[in-house]
Amino acid sequence: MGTAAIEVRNLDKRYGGVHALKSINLSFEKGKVCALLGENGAGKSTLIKILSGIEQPTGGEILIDGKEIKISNPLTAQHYGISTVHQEPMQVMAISVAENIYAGRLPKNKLGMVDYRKLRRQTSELMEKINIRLDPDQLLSELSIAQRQLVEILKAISYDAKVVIFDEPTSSLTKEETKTLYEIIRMLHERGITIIYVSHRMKEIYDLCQEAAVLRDGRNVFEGRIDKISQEELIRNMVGRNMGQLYPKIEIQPGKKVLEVKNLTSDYVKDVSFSLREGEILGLSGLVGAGRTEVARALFGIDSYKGEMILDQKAIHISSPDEAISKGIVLVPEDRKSQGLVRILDIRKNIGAVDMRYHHKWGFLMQRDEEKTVSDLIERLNVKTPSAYQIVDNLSGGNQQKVVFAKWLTKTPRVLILDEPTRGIDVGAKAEIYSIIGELVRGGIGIIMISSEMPELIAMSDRILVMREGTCAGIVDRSDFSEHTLINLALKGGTA
Amino acid sequence: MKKVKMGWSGISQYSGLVIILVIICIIFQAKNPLFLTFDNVIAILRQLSIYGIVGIGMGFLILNGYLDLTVGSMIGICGVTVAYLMTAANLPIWLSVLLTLAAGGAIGAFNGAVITYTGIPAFIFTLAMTTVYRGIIYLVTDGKTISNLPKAFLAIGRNNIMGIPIAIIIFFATLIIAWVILNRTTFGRSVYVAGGNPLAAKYSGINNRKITILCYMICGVTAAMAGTVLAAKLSAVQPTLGNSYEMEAISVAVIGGMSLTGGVGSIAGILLGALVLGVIDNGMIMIGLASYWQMVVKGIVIVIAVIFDIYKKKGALTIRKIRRK
Repeated sequence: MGTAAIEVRNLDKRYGGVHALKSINLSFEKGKVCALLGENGAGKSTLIKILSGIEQPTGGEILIDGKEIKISNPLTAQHYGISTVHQEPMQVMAISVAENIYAGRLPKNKLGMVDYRKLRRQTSELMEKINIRLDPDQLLSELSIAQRQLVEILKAISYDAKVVIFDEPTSSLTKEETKTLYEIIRMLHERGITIIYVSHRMKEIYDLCQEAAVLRDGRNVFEGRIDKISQEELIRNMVGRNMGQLYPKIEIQPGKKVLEVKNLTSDYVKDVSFSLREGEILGLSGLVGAGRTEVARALFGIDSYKGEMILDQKAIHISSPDEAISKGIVLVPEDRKSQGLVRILDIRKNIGAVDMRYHHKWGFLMQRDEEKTVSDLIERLNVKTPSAYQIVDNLSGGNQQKVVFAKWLTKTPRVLILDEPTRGIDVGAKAEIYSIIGELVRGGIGIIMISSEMPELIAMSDRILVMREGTCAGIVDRSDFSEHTLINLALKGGTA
Repeated sequence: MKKVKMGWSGISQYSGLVIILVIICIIFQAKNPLFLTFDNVIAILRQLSIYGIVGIGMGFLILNGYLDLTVGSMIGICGVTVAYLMTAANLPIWLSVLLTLAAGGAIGAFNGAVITYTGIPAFIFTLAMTTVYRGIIYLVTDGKTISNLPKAFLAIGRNNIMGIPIAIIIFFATLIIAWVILNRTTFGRSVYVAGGNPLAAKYSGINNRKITILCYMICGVTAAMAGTVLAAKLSAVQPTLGNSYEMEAISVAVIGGMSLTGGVGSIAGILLGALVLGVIDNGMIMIGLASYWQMVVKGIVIVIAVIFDIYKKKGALTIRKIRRK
């Protein structure tokens, strides 16, 4: 074992009655890329918050280079060379890239005003160091999430960080952006910087990391070299039980045609045609921005469109979500926080937002029926909550996603569109979502599933439609599935 | 399988407000033993019932994430309307009142339609319209007071039913109806959902625009109710009728724990907010505090109530974090 960059001994954290970290002992070896794994609620974020100075531990010690230190706030963390790239970067959108990186320590001229030339030069030099190309003067609000993460990374390096913590950095990145991030992480690694990498994606971890530490229920249950442990074993460590198969693909003979779409054209997509059968999962693949979500938006009546839609042998035209829902076409949207849920309301009101369509008499809610529907769904989808009156924001990501599903299952839909149904949720919840999806197709509905996670799409779909620049680049049958084929189509559109 | 618990929640969220109310009452009672007598309590309720009624309408809007600063002017317009219909147009009282309520609803719907169709911020539009509506009152009345209202009409503002002033009865009836609408109808559910997250509401098939316009209509109708009751109580309609009532209405809702960002609050909060405001108004007179001081104290109470609310939410936030671990 080499020397530890950061070591924690008997680290303990209690929030009131909740024991979030139970006497953890971990060491992150200097110059290594270490994966930090665990289900949501396992204590990962607590540990990160403590290491970045946002929270204080209730017991135990933190050692940097063998010396005990106290990280009392984020500034001290930076002082000790610990920088964190947060999942959802906390940045000021209305100021430039350079100003964000050097906020609080902008170079000044003799008059005490900001020396923008120097600032620009500093930023460019910083970018050259790790081969990032961004315009220092561009406003943050004009950048994509991936670019904003790069700004976070630049900021981390500008502090001369010895340890950089990445908290689920790829959860909203495209494949290409993820690649860039990999390169940067490798570059940081070559410069001898220690990296703590939090992710739910197994493939990434095996690609990038040398070490792994697993937390479960506030304890560390595994620590060691990643090439010594198989993926199955790692998952078993995380969830504390045998996962079985992660993707329970159910073989169903697709039934009759549910939906047929011909030449769907909106402001964002052009001439997309496909059909969907009962019990079938049609995957929608392609790069972010290729028009996958936009197909869903048109089908659900959010964007207006031209083209034909035939639902159960009847030609329909959908001009609003209200209309789509009453025809049985529903959407689990991409961003559950902003589109799927009212986070300040409880589970019942969230599910009731849709359920009230079916359970009312002259506009009056049918309380009993609603209560029963809600509690049945909570049970059926195994939403972990003390009651139906729990505020949704208090639930974990996976449980929040189940509530979004529940909204659309108060009445069985004909066509269920899933946009990134497992984004940002942990392995255990993912498996549960997959089995819900399986149960639904067995019930004979048609599912359209958009996903950026190739393995998920390949495992779950019967056919995959690949989008490229707003058009359909091709539809691939299950027998021809491979990442290679799909990526080829997404990039070049040629048949592989 | 775990049994999912179903039951009431959220009653306790008003415990802070109830405690504040009790403390204020004790202080006033200690200074003036006449404070908590039946007559004075009725006087308090009668006083608060008018801004309480507008507060209910404002509550719908705030829950939906909007605001209407024109309610003060609307009270004025509706007061003038009801007075003209009865005197100049010589219509029967019941018809005049009904038409006035309809007028309030129509003005509200207009406000809501302009705001939702053009996207102009509600605060700015209604702020501007406040002076427009007030100006219209002066244009119509030529700045003169309308008196000689029918005797039977004045009863609304003065008479009692079984010892309880009609104004109070109207207030409580409105409270009950509002509670039923908010908690037991699909429209009420939509108000909360659309107020809490308009985008999620849209993705749930809710027509946000329709909901918002309806909320503005409701607010307009309550302003018309308040205008009518106020006119009857004062037995004359001055062009300044209802001045600054928008502040009272917003205060009632905010003290009652409604969040101006929408989605949070309830009718129980409106009642408590109105009680706090009414008790302070009346109590300060009872203990002989000069009226200028009353303004100062009232403002401070609003600030305290909102800060209290923010802290409560912060508390809730830490609990939330704990539960996530």
